[in-house]
Amino acid sequence: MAALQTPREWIGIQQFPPATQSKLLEILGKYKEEDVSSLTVLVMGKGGVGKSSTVNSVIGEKAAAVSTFQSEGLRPTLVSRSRSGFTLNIIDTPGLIEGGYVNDQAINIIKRFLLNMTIDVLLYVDRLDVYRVDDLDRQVVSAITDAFGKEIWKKSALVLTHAQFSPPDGLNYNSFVSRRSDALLKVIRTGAQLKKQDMQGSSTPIILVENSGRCHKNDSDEKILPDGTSWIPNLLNTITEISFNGNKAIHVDKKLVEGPNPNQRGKRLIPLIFAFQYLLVMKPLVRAIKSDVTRESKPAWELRDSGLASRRS
Amino acid sequence: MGDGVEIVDMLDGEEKKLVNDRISDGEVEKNELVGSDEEEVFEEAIDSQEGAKPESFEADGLREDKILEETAENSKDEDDLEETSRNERGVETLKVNYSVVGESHGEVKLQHTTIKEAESDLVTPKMNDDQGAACAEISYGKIESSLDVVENSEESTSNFAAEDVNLVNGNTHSSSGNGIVSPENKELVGEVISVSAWSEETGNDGIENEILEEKVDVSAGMGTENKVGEGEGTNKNCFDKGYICLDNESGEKRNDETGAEYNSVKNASGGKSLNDSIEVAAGTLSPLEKSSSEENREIEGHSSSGFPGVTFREQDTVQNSNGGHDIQQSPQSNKEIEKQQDSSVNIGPEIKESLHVERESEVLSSVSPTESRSNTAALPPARPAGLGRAAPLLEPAPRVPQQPRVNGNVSHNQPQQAEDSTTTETDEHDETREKLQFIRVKFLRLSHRLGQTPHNVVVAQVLYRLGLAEQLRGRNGSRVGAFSFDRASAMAEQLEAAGQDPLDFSCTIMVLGKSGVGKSATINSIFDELKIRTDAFQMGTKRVQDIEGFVQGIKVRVIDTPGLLPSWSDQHKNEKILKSVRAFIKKNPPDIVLYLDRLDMQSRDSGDMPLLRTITDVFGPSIWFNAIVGLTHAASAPPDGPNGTASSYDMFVTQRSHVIQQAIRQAAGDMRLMNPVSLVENHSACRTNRAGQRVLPNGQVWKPHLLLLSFASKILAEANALLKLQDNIPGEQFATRSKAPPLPLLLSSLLQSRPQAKLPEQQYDDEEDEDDLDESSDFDEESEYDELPPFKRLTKAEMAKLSKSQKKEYLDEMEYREKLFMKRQMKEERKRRKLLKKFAAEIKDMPNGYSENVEEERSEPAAVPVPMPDLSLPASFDSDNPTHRFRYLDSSNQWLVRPVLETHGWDHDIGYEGVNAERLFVVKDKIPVSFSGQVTKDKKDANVQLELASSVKHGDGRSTSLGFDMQNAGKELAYTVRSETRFNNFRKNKAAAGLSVTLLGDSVSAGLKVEDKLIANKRFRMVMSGGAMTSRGDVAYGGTLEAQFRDKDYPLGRFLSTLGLSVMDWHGDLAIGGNIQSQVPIGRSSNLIARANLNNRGAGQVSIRVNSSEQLQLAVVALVPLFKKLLSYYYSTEQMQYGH
Repeated sequence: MAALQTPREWIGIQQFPPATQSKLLEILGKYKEEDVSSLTVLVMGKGGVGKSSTVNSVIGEKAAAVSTFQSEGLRPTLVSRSRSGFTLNIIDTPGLIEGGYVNDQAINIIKRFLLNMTIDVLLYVDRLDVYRVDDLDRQVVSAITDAFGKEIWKKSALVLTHAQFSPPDGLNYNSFVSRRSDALLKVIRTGAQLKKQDMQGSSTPIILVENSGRCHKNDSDEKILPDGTSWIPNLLNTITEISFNGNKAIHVDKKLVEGPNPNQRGKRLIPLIFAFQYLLVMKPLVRAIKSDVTRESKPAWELRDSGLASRRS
Repeated sequence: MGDGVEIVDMLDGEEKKLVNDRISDGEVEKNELVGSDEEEVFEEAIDSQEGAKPESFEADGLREDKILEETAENSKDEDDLEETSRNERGVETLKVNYSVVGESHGEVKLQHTTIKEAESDLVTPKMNDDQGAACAEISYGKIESSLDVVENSEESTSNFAAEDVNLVNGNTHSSSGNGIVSPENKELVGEVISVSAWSEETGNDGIENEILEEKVDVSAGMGTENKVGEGEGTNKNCFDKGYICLDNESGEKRNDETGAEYNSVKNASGGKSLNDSIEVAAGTLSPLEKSSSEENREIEGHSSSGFPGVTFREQDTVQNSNGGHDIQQSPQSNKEIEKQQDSSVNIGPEIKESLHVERESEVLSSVSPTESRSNTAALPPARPAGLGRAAPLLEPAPRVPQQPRVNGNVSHNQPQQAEDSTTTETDEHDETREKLQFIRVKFLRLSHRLGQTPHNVVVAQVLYRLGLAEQLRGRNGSRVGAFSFDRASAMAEQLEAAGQDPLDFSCTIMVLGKSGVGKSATINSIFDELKIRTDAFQMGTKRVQDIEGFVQGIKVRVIDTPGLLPSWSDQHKNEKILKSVRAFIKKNPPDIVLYLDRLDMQSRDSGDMPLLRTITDVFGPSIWFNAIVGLTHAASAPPDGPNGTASSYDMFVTQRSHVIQQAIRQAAGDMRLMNPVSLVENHSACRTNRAGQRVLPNGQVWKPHLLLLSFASKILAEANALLKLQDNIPGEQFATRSKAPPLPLLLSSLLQSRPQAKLPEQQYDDEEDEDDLDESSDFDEESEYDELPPFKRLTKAEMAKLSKSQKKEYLDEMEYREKLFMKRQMKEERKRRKLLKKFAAEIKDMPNGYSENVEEERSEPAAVPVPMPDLSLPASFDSDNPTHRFRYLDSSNQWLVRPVLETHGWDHDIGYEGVNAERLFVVKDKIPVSFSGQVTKDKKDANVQLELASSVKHGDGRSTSLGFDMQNAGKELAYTVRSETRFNNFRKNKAAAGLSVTLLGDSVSAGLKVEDKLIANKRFRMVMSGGAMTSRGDVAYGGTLEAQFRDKDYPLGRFLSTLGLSVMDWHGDLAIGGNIQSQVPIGRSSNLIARANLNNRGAGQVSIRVNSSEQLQLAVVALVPLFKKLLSYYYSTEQMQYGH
């Protein structure tokens, strides 16, 4: 499978400004301390929100094909880069929406692609500069939940792209971000049918991302958000936090991919049901028939005929 | 002067920008991406609405115009030119000086009478070129005049002709130089120059092409008149393009090209010619145009005298742009300028006079333009109007389709006729044109209020479309050229300046779009105030609402709608919303639909399709015909391109609009749709210009543009309503096309001879009538049967014992006897019926009380016999055959209900297609009414067929039948009412005439038929019928002939031949078809049926069928050579056909 291919050296990291590089290396160092050699990040979301661009930004090279107006086929792509013994796998997935529907085929393909892999972190991507959430968002979330189980949301982060924008009139940036992310988190909660207490243990972190080449930069040439944070290290940092947050990583096995086997369900009940049928259904029935036969009053002609017959024979 | 130069500089910059814009447009087109900016889009939208190929249309105009084959490219160029020329006009008429006009009125009256001739003479050009640049017109007039002279003295020659003409030009310039110089004018000059230079650059190709072609034509050396006309055309064209100082240059060009003709000018005119020519020039000016032209001259005057620097500069541009083509001309044109200035000193007073003349006529025209026009037209032309043909080139080509042809065909001896005929036609359209002019003025006022100059491409396009529409309407009148943009523009200016005449215009815009794209915010932006509360996170608008307000004094009503949702699962919600919108707009429908989406959202994977489809479902596809696509968040930065660098803003906008347009096209199901796109930015942080208007990254001020687009659509709709042009909205076009009734079909069903409904007891009347013919002759045969010796049928065993010959004899004998027996039976049956009839007649004659009794007795049996038609069973039993599977009982019910079976269906198919019901009623014991209805349904569509027929007998030989049919025709139901009267007065000839009216869809077609049945004798009969069907002025004619030749005693003897012929003529398309069928008995138990048909398109069919009740398999072999022969014959004819 794709996971078997030898990961390439993470060259793109050198292309970041030195400040970013050092921060990234620091984060990678953390993994070394924990003795973790690889990390798998799954990126999902609606089409056209900037999943592939985010992947490219993080990797630092054009690893996933991006085009503004066309979506790339239905296949997910695995991008793995290794740096001093640590491998970062990022799985970029196609948009899950087509023609107003959640594309089940795409989800199935993704599931099959992920077979025998472990998802450490899920990045759910959406745009920051969209004002409304609608039913489609909920559908996407529930599709993801159906595919990987509720637990995946405990290992997930909400990525908001197009972070560099000026919010509409009468709102400041931070309050806009918080309202937008609240709206989306609510969608995730309802879509994944998570209960309040499920979410209490681990709140989904919010990561802001700006992939555009026009992204502002600070003095040390790092890409920064309007609030001044350098977002690439922040993103990796959050990913790291999630991967260490104590929740179990999602291992995609055959069972998860294929769903529960309907033939296996309730097998144990078969003898019970059989006994029930035999004792409570069949027995009374047979008894009823027998009693009915004995109580039968035969008409005269039949008796005569049978009598004749018996006489003849 | 310094000012002037500065202005020119500034404007030059602008001009460059404009040119750049053009170039970028061109690039975009090359990339096959549609509409880089709205102007382009709009243009295309118009194109697409115009029909399949508007350019070809223009090309048509051109062709007629020049009688030259022009390529499509050329016509495109023309289009460009036209655009630019319009721009020029726009500029030059910005300020119109009215005061001068009034003053000069008195003085010139006398002169007017003297130049009448010339004026009337030049009606043609006037009509055609009043759209053209004013300056071009001046010089044009002059050239005309000199040409006039040329005509008068064809023989004479002079070398000075060129100078002469140019001098004249110079005169005009200098004379107008006497005008007052005002700062206003300075600016104008600057602008005029820049625009003209620009137009020169863009229009170069077009000019060059035309000139070249003209050259060829002229050098070919045919009729003088024609040549001159065309040469002139060239000049005109040149004027049109770079009109200010180009007239010098084009003068030279003309010299180069048509030198021979022009040489004569000087000679003929001599000293006097100058005056003459000027006068004529004055006359040439169209009355509708004068104000602007005069103004223009003034401007020019300023430019030449007040600002020499400016003039030269402009000259330079012109030269530069033209340098590539005619290098040797540039020094000359410099000379011309000098000359021009010289002459300005010399011939001042004369020119003044000519100016007065112009003003005079202008005053006349401004009083009543129509009147003056017809006046001048009525005057006899002093010279052939052939010269008029030069004018059209100044116009955008399509506007003059007729005139040149008239001139081309009619020799120059009878031009007056042509003139007159066109004039009368023009008058008919005057009223419409007046109205159209109002619309134009209105639109110009609107655009003025929105701060758009007429050289905005949208404005230009609308004006062009108005002109085109007018021209389409007034196709017959060649005078549609009376566009008079300038007058409209002037009027608009005046009304706007006065500010008292309220603008009778309001526009209703309905805003649709996804939730959260900024519909309400856009409305707030349009009105520049917070009309609706918006919220970034909640659904801001919960219900449909109506917001009215004024934008720049224009009443705008906006319908805000709740946001729509993109998901499929939400479409029922959308539907609900849209239905409420539909209910809301029912009484007050919007003029424009503004579909909003975000520019910075990449809705790919056809994510908007459900939404768009729902909109289409609820409102119908016509909602998109008047829709504008608005892209909000237009100030957002374009995303990074594939190579990591940012893509250009324009490219991004283009691609995004393309995506949405494509989606709309798919949703509307009309691939020709091209919705104009407007950008919208509601963000308060949006960049603004000095006036506080929001400016987009590409420098566009979006709000006026959006409003202008909306208003333009409304204006065009108004104009359409006025002109009743049907083909402007593609939807309508489709509708009318589909509704043309299938006349031939209706006609053939009408021509079909139908049996009349009959009373049950009369069921066999008809045959009887026919068989009456030679009844008497049958008697001997009848007796013959009785006289035969007794005959005993043999059993099978006995048969086997017979020898071959005996067997044959026996069979022959038996057959003969059978025949005779059957005949006798038929006779007896006939007799019996006759008796019954007689009896019935007798009963009727009897007194009442008695007859009732008998009637009752008789009516009972009459009601019972419902003939039960039996399905013909196939020869072998097959459970798959539905005929075997579905049998039905013969009920005594009067309603006869039967299944409709599909015998040729698939194996194991249910084979049950529908139900058929029949019934025969008798109304009042006299009038039979038959009803039969059939409903069939297969996978795709259901068919209903219903037939109601009755007939009334009146008199002895006449009967009238009435019928009503209803059946599916395509997707619609066709209702037919028909009636037919039959005359049975003669035994051998029966005539019938019928009428029918069919309602199909919303079209009614009526038909008439005549039928004649001729019975020559027992063996031969013939039916002829002819008819016509008409609908919407469309007529189809048809006729059929059917002849039948049969055995002497038909039902027994099986020989039967029929010949059928049918002719149908529709749209001049003649279809003739014939078929022949013959049934010949072979031997005792076999039948041969041969059938052939052929139509006039060469398609035909031959079929031969033999059936036999004996085993004759071997005989079939005999058919093989026959088929072979036929096949070879068929192939040979086919090959012959291909050979041809």
